[in-house]
Parts: sequence; structure tokens; C-alpha cells
Amino acid sequence: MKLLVAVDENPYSRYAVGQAARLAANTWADVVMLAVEKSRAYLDEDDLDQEHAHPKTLTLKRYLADFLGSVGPEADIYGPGRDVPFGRRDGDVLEADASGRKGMVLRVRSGNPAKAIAAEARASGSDLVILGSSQHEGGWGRGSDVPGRVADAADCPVFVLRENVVPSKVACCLDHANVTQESLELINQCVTLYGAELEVVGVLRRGELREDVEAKMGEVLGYYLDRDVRALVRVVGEDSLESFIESGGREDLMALWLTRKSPLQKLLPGHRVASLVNHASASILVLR
Amino acid sequence: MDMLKALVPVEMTLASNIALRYLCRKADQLGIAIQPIHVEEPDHKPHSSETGWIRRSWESGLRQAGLEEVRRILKSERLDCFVLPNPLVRVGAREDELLDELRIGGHDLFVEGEVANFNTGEFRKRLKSKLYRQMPCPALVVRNMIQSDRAALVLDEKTDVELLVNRFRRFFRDPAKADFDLCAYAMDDLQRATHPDELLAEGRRLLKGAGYAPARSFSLLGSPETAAKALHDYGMIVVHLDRKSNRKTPLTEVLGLASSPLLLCW
Repeated sequence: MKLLVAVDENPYSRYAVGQAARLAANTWADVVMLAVEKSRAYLDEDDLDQEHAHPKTLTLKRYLADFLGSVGPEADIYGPGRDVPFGRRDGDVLEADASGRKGMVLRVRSGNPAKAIAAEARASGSDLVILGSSQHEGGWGRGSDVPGRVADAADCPVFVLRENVVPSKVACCLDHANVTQESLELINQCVTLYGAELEVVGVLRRGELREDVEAKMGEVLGYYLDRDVRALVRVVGEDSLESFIESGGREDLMALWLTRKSPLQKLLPGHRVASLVNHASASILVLR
Repeated sequence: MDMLKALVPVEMTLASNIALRYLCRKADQLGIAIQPIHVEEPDHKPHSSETGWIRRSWESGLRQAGLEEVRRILKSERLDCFVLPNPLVRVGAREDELLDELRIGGHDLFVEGEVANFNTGEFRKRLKSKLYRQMPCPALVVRNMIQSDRAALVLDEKTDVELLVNRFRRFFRDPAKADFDLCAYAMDDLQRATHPDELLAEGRRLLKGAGYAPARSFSLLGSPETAAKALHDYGMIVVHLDRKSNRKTPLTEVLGLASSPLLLCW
């Protein structure tokens, strides 16, 4: 598994790093940690040392220490974590390789944060992008809509974590039966990681639950009940879906499958996804 | 102790599957024997003959197909509780056939599955249906497999507390084994005809008279959403509803939002 953890200087990013570390410890994932700085063409780098010219490198080094601390006794799979030097790679990208047996790369890109995160996810073939978000609007600069725009623009799953909340319920909204095993395993990781209950939510189309969706709900439900995980079922009409997601509380994690085959993609065009992600109280996991 | 007989529709749906699995787990605790029933609903296309041997043969074919389906479902569920050996199979409108069987069959309980809908209007529709308005016995609506064995006996100002306690005793027959909390629900405790504390006192008095004691009794004040969350962990919510009234009440909203199985008494 390849995780991309996107960070800025706000406390929610530190929280997201801690949660990413827990997930990485469970899955032995390769990790890229990314910070995005403003493009500053006026800056003459020769006049400054690296940490002053690119303060995000310092931020990333601090987050690396946090990450390794949160991984716990198995942190050595990511290398010693000592001060690693940043060097230029592919033009504008600054990179430090802190890998051990598993990959741990720190990168600084410049430009628009949402575009830079999506570009990094594509370039590094990420399986999941993790980024933090504040409880209310704010943070991430540039109008604070970065998490939503990343969720919309990335080709891979995106996990937007609300600050300082441990989800107690994972609600996964199923609108089609072609969900990948990888995405179910990601749900499984969240349920296990947080000791959360699972709510399998079927999306009704014209008031009816499609047979294949119902069968998939039964399959997922049975899987968790057999493992003594508290698992519930619910249905929601397609016209109430946005209200349902918005009604999710701070301690909920809403998982949505958005693929080209997914009717949800038609129900929730890109700008609506971005808006939901930015305004919901719940953490959001967009699966693809 | 006589076993209670529960009529349970068996269908090829997730809701039916959950209801069967839940009931089977509860069957011992409640002393229930499961009577499966399956209703084959004919399509509404006109047939070559509406009477005579052609119709009888066609109905008989449907009945046979229904019987095979029930047996297949019951076999695949591998239920380890007491299921009466002869499933009932009927042909006709589901609601009418179930109501007819409940009236003539002397069943103590009707049990069916329902996948909870975010839109609570669907639950109100169920309560307003002919089946639920006219059935002669309590109904257990199973929404989820909740592991907890603790029930919540929920009262509101419209509750007939004596009737509810009597129904409760019928299903939880051994006072020593009845694991339940007593709860009085209201949006707030201002200007109530009956204050939640009075409801609790009456409930406790009636239960005590029958030898029952709740593990905990408490007032639950707040919006239906808050109350549904507070009742989230109960293995069953037991309520009395007045079927003469069509009005949406805070309690019916709580029930619409709840995840737990609901034992509806009338």
C-alpha cells in the first residue's frame, strides 16, 4: 500500500500524521509525506540556507519524527529517521529519502495545494491520500477548500480526517455492487483501527434497493457480524443522500464510492463532492 | 412454560435474513417457536382464466414454488432454533394474506425485518398500513442484529403503561432473567400532561407489582435524533403505540431513527 500524507502547519495535519502512522503500522505501507509551498520566483536560494528558503522542509522533518513516534516499536521499518538532507528532484520538487525496509519519502512541491497534492498522488501511484481538516472552515489557505478539491481531483481514494476526532462509526454508502476488494479492505482497516461500528448504507434508486446492492450489503454485513464487529444496515434515498452525509456527526466517518461506474458520481458532481467534503462535520473517505 | 408462536415472513431479502437470524438468537430467551410464512404475490397481468381448474393449477404451481423457496432459504440460513416444520405458503396480496393468517392462526407475535430508512416517513407509512393498524398481536420489527440482550421499555405521555407492562410480561416471562431499563421520553419536561418522572413512577410501580425491576430507570429528554442515539445500544426497544391516532409524535420519530429492533405493542 502506498500512502500519501499531505500536510500543512495546522494542528489537524499533525493529527492526520498520527492517524496515518497508525494505518501504516497496520499495513506496512510505503509513505510519501508532502508539503506544498507557495511559488516564490523572487527568492534567490543562494542567499539563504535551505530551511529558510524552504521552511516546509523543517515542517516535514518534524512530522517525520511525529510519524515514527506514532508507529511505535516497529518504526525501524521506516529507517532511523535521523536528519535527512533534501535535494532537488524533477525541477521544482524537493525530496528527502528517509526509507528503511519500507519507503518513507518527504517531498515539497510548490504551487496550488490541491493541484500539487493531486499531481503527487498520480506521480507516486498512491493508493490513498490522507489529509487533515479543521472542524470548521479554515486552514489550508486559499479559501480553505483544499480537502474537497483534492477529494474531487484525485484518481485514488482520499481520506479527509477531522481534527482530534476518533470515528466511532463508519458509514459506507453503497450504490453499486462493483466495489473493489481493496476498498473493502480500506473500510476494514478503518473499522479495526478505530474499533468503530460499521453502518452499511444502501442508496435507493427511485425508491428501490437494487438487487445486486442488497446482496452486496448482505455480504458485507455477514462478513463483519461473523467477526463480532457491530454492523448495522440502513437505506437512504438518492434524493436524501446529501442530507444524510451532512447529518453525519463529528464522530462519524462517511465512506463514499465515487467511480465512473458509480451512480453516486452522477448524483454528486465534482463541485458537490468538494462542497460536501469541506462542509460536513464527519470525516470523509472517498473511495474509487 | 408454553411456547409463544411467532409468524415470520420468509423472503429472499436482506431484511428477512436479518429478522430470521435475530429471532433465532432470541427464540430461547423469549420462548418463541417460529412459524414461517411465505406469500407469493401473483403479478397483475390478466390471465387466460380467472376461475376454474386453470387458475387452481396456476395457484398450486405458485404455492409449490413458494414452498420450495422457503425451504431453500431456511436451509441456507442453518437456523439452530425451533422452527415449526410446515411453512405456510399463501398466494395473494402480501398484506391481506398476512393479516388473514394473524387473525385465524392465533399467533402471539408478528416478526418482520426492515432495513431502517434515513427518511423516517417510511416507518410512519408502515405504521399506517392496513397490516399494522389491524394486526391482532404485537409486532417485532427487526432492523439489525444487535448483540446486547438488554431491552429498553420506553414510555411517553401517550403510553398506556399498564397495557405495555402486561405485554412486556408476556414476552419476558421470567422476572429474574428480564434484563431491561425503563425510560420515559419527552422532547422536554415543560408543560407535559404527564411529567416523565410520573411516568417512570407509574411504570416502576406496575413492574414491581409483577415482580420485575428495571436495571436502571431514567428520563430521556431531547430531540428524536438525540434520543435515538441514546437508545442505540439496546438489543430491543419496547413501546406501546396508540393505533387510533395518525399523528406523528416525537416517539414515532425516535422509532423511525432507531437502529435497534422494535417491539411494538398495542
